[in-house]
Amino acid sequence: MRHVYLIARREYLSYVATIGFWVSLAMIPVFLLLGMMLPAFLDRASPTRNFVVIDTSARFEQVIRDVIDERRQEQIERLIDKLILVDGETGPLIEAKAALDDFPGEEKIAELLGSRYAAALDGLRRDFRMVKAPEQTASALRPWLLGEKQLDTPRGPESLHAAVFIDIKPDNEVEIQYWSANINEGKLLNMVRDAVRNKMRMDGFTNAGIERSLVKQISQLTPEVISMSPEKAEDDAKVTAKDRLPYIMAVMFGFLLWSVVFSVANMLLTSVIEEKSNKILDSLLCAAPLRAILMGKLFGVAAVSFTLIIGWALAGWVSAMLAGSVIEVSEGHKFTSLIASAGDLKLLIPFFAYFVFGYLMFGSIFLALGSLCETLQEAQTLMTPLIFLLMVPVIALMFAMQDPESPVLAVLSWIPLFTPYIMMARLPTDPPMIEIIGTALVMLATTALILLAAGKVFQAGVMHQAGSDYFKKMLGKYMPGRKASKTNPKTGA
Amino acid sequence: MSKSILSLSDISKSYGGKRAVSNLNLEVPPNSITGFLGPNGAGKSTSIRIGLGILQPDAGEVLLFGERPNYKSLDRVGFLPEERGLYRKMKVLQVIMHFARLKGMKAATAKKHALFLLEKFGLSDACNKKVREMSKGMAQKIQIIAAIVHQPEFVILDEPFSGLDPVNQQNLEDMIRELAQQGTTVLFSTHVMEHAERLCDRIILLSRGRKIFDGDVKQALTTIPNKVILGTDAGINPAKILGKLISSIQPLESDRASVSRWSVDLSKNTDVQDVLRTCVEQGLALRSFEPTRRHLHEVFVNLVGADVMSEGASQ
Repeated sequence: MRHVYLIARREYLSYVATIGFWVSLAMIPVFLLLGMMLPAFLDRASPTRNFVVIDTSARFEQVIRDVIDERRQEQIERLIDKLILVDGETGPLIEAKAALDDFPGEEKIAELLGSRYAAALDGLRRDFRMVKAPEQTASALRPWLLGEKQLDTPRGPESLHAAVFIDIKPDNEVEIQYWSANINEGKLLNMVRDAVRNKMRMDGFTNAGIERSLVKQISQLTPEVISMSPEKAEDDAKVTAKDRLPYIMAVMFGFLLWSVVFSVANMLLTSVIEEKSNKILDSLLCAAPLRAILMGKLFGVAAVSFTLIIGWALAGWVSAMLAGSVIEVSEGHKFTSLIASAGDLKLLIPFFAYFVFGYLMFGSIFLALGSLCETLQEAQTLMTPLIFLLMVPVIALMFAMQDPESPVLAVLSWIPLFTPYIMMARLPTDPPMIEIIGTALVMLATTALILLAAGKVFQAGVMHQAGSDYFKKMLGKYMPGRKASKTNPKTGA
Repeated sequence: MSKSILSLSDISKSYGGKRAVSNLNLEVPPNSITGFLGPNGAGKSTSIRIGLGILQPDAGEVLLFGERPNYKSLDRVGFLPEERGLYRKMKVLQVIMHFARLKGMKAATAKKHALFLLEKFGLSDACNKKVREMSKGMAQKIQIIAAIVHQPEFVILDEPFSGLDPVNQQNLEDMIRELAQQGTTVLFSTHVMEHAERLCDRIILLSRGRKIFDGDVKQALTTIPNKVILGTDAGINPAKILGKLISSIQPLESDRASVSRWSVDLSKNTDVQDVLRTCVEQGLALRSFEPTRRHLHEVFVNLVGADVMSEGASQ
């Protein structure tokens, strides 16, 4: 035990006592947060895009303008909601929000908000702005669309993003030509198409003698959808965000499990390669039994991963507490109470159990492979099939987000290398007990077998200097018809 | 039960059909300095690794402190492997303490001993530096310290002098003598015969996995003939006078026309004094008589060369 403890301790401190470890500990949640916020950042970073509409029929220009205004109205409403979250329901904010129902125009809203919120409204960038066309034909507008000429606007010279030509053909078919140098941006085109289609339908109903107000009223009809769960009491069967949370959390735990196992297994790989290439192993072997070296490494890096998990959990808890005090997720449920349900022992206990097995399986495989390699490049060749194998649970977890009760997941759960991640995601669906116990037993047996095999490979790599062609030689030795590779007389490997 | 610190009996080890060690018998007596000599690939490192239980022999028995190598007996051993390396990112003091603690030493004692040895090796300033900041020679000294910090009863040093400058080689020689004076048994392998000649009570010479000599330095030197350089009057060949006392005689270039010089290899067990006496008794006009000292290097070349030749002849 002394050897295991000392080797584990050294392994643990070699990671935890470095600034890099703590930076990475902090950086991963930061990157996750950035990843979540990146689309919003990118959206904000895009400039307001000017476009022109050349509508020969004069039927559609106004509806497009109305859609742009509605979009702007929604943007302002979201801004006011956020300001209420921060400042509470202050007079100007309540007045402005109420005024939005009839949208009196942006100037009036700015006036209601007052100087305190003027900067926030000014900073609220429009996606698109419809401007007066400098020319009426596509060929004449080319220099503007290609950026050779700039639009003359009250804000100064600006570029033209797109030109929309709407034409009615002799057979009353409406044709939209969308001209833009940016062929990948489709948001404006979709917006224009929806607006024109709605107008065409509305006109169609009116022409058929149905009153416009009635059509509008009918088009606004929408059912109220209430999700109910038979597993809940009949008088409170409504499915809330809190009910869905365990499913979401289980999949998130699955991803967390995968990323922790994958990153710490890599630590084991690099650690053993370092020891092999730095020729430390002979000294170690004279000081500690091989099994103690193997177990010490596994335990040391396991402790590193627990530190990671605890660090991230603490960071998540603190952020949730801060966010939870202001965010109301659904009626009667504060964000804090939702997050509290993630700490449910029904998820946490399996999480740690699956972590132990997932880690032991992949950790010992990585450790054994590392012992056969002198460099990371060598390791990469051996690792490639394993990496492909490791990608399967990630794909399965994405699938589990849509349908955690899929039979495909039930089948994949029985593959021991995938069991920890997939069963984790499936647990809230209450899979049959036979599956939980059965998959656990298969996983347990496989873990034991992998540990034994890894010990053998580790022994060959460490004591007999076996190299990355070890498996090829083993195949040659045990498979009839395959010629065994020659053994290195110096190393015996 | 063996009284030797290390005993290898009829040890054989093959790698893929090639014999690395063949029926090796070896005893390392307590309180001795034993030199383990042999050319590259002779099986020295394999034998050492077998002796420490790092490698399992195909046949034979290993006894370390009278029992099969185990982690209790290994705690009494300090080992400097041939392929040296340390944790490059660890601090010097930490890495020495780590190995001391693995060998069962308490943290406080390990620190005290490590600091003492660092000072002794002139590395006090390095104790808080990282290993990667050390030069190759300094790193080697640190590894030697790591091998002896736990005050082992038996120290095995595999090629300890390689990579050290002459000053540090001398320091290491002094350290080995000091360890021996303190009662530590030392076994070291080397290519440099001068170290073995100066240090060893006993030498074991290996060639092609087999032991070709086992004895003290004096005995080793008797395996090669004594040699003298004779100067006689020009044209006089002493071969006839010396007769059976010599095994071979070769003329050497002389810087004076009136003097002939001869390199004379004496017969086995012939003493230089016998040659001088015979020359005087037979009235040989000697101009000079220079007995040359035999060295372990010649023993090595002679024995290993003969072994390689016999291999060639047998093939």
